[in-house]
Amino acid sequence: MQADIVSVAQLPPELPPVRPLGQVGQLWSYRRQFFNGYWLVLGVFVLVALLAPVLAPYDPVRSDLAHQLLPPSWQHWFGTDIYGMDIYSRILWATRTDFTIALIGVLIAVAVGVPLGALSGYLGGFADDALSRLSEMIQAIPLFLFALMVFAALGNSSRVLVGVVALVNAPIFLKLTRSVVLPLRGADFIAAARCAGLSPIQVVIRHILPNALAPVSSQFSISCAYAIQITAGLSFLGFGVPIPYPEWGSMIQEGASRIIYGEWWTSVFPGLAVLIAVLGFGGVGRQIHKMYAS
Amino acid sequence: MSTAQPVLQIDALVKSFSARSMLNPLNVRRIPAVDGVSLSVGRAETVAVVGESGSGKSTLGRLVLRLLRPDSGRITLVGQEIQSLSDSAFRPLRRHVQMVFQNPLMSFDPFYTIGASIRETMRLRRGGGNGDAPLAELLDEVGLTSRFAQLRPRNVSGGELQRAALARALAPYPELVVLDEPTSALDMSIQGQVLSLLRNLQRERGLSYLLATHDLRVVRMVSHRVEVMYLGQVMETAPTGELFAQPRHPYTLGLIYASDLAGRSEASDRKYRIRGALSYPAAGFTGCRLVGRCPFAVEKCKEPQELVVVAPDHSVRCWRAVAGEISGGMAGVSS
Amino acid sequence: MRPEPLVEAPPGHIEGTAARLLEISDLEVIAQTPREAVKLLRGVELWLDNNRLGVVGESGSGKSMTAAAILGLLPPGIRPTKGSIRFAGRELLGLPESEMQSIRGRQISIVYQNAVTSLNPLTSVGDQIARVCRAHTGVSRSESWTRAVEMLASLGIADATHRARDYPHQFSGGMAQRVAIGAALICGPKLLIADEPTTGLDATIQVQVLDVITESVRRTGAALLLISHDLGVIQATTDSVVVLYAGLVMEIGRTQDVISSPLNPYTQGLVRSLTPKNDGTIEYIPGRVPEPHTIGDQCPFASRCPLASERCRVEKPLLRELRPGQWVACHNV
Repeated sequence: MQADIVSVAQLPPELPPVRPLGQVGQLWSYRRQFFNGYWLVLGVFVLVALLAPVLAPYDPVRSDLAHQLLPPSWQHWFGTDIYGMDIYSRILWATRTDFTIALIGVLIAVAVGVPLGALSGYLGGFADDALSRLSEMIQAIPLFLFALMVFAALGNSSRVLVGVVALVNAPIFLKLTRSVVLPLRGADFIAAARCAGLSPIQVVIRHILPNALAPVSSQFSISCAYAIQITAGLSFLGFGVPIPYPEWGSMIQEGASRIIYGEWWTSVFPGLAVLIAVLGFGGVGRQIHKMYAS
Repeated sequence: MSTAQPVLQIDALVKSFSARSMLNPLNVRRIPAVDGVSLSVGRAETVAVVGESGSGKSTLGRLVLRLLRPDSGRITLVGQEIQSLSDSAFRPLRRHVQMVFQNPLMSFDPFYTIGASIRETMRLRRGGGNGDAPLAELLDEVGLTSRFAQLRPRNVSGGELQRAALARALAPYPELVVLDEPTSALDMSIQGQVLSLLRNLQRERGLSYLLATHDLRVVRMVSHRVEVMYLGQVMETAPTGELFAQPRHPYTLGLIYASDLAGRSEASDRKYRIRGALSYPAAGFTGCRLVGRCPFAVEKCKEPQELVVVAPDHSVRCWRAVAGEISGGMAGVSS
Repeated sequence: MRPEPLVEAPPGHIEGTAARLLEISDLEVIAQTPREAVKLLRGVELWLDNNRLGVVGESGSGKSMTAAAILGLLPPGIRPTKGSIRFAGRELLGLPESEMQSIRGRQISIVYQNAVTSLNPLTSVGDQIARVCRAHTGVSRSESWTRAVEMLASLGIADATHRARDYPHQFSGGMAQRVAIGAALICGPKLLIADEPTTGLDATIQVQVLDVITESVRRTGAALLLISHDLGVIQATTDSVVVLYAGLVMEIGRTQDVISSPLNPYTQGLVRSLTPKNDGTIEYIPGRVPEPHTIGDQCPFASRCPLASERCRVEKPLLRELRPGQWVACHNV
């Protein structure tokens, strides 16, 4: 111990408290502050998606023309549609469809967009320019026109729908990650990591990506909300999930023509499902953002 | 200092940046950050590079750490030329030189604990060894308890964090540590803590320091030799004691004058004060870059100026100083 | 050749009662977090007449909080809970926002540390100064522009007529700070607060800016409250000084006296760290500034003080006039 430096025993006792909890532990202690209704809503949806086969009273694709267009009742909570299929069961099953397509689509978008965005921001130069222009090109095309082009080229299936969702969201994650990475590039701790002998790839993985975690996870939830809208919207137009597979968008489409006849339940319930799911994801996204902001 | 091989030798190092005007992308200005600098740092020696913003002192440090590539010139570190090595070729040499940055809070990744950050640099050690015991030993050397290893940067005060940064720099037992304004971001009443630590470590480990600073008190406390830089060029170089006793260059005089605010007088003001603000020379101008701000500037100063030896180990880049026309005695300016 | 003063210098003293220009008594400011209330200022006292007062403090001292409190610009979640701030006899704490707005810029102005970021990047500098002028006086656009250009010229900006049309990013740090000073002084305030005005500027520029501040304050007759962590700057620019530590005033007195013979142990440590010893060593105060929420009702310096006694750890010291003109807060001197 140096003679000039005050010995440890003389150091003031007010050293800051050691927090043994890791990241997860800290999240747990925040739970009361940030976990609220929105998470509950999403939780319910996820449960429904998982347990649809168990929860649905009727077979969602079995047509029963004797019981067409029945209004909501005790036998059919949400009524039946034009093919006599129980709307309640279809909505439960559709949760699977929509959530799966949306989540997988966004996951692919993250897997593609985030690393590319990090590299784009960190490397700069030509790579950055090229990737930025590419994402802007994708973003510039109106969604439905873009989807039309893709479906025309690759055929109409739910797989292609997932691809469209991914492709539309990837530029968002690329740009977001890039904007987080750009100011980090000049940060001293990045230079310190270089001085420690880390290669650029190692620097990106160890130092850049973790610091990009916050905005990306918030955006993930928001993108899921967007993805649900895309899925439902495109299915409404007849793309993606074929009839009669249960999907909120196509259900709304089927019921749209019945509204003028007063048979509102055919469109309203699936519409409500979309609304609540989108709000749920959006709210969760905002909560995550608040969580990291503190 | 000893006649043994210097730890660091820099010869005619040049690094420019190009600044592109946003409005006119074709208008590219070359800004010479380091313009033909030569210096050497011996074993257990501290060389202070003094200058204000735009002097190139920070760029110089980053060039030595190979965070930037020089345009031309030679950098020799512990006997090996490094300026044209590739990233991977330089990696095994990184354990010989480390850096301490100006703002301790920004030099640690907020995502990791202090211990994790220090361990990252410990990997450069021969034979690894980034376990708990060696880490505790490092922290102990800078006067921190092992508790600090588990703390995050934001929970630690500035002075302590800078000491942790020093521990990180010392992790691979380097011969040379480059320090970029190590105490400027710290409170005045604790700057001495870090400086005292630097001195002790130098005594014990035979460390060499290349210290970039604008603070003359820091220079006086820890450095053996001073290089005064302005706009990429060395204006004056001398041993520390000699520089403060017999400053020759008008810029050095101006800096010393500006550092003692309370001791100024009308007379010293007229004589030593550097006027105006920093401005890069126009393309094609090869004269002294202080023209326009220097109280002693005359027409002849627009000719190229060279570093000339005026006393043992003491060189100046100013023809008027060499000719003895700049009064050395600093009556009215503290020494 | 000295330019004519731009505005009437305010009277040198207040008629009637001997009310000081600025008087802060026992000011306490807390930061309200969901869990607890943390004291940031724990009983600040200071006063100033028509002279130049320095406030010196290091990180966590509360010096910027004090300036913010005077102007009613405390950030959300932070508020004063006790004490008073009287300006020209008028209580500032609790004044409605509309009245504070008429005081800011007109009676009390402030310049901040980084001028380039404290100026609006979207309008020309001349326009910014002119707007402040128009906001508080009823002059016309052209008249306010003329005054702005005159102000810039008097602050040493060459070619002011043209430079007034330039934008903040076209100015160097020192020049931008002059613009900020111009905007602060255009309405002839009685008090100019300068919060670390030269921190971050090069030494050679710092000299210039400090001279501009001193000269323009003298010319317009305003009083100066200069906040800095650098005792050297305070020594060169102020007549009296207040030493703050962790939200409490440790010492007040004439700058000369406090620096040549400080009485409070913290001030002594601070002054010693200013001047290196003969062998070049810089002295320091061991330890670190305590976190505000760990300081109860005690002397905040107790943990690092060589004179600390039991009393220091439980009782907050009050300011006492130990020598004529020099007040010290310490139990043990």
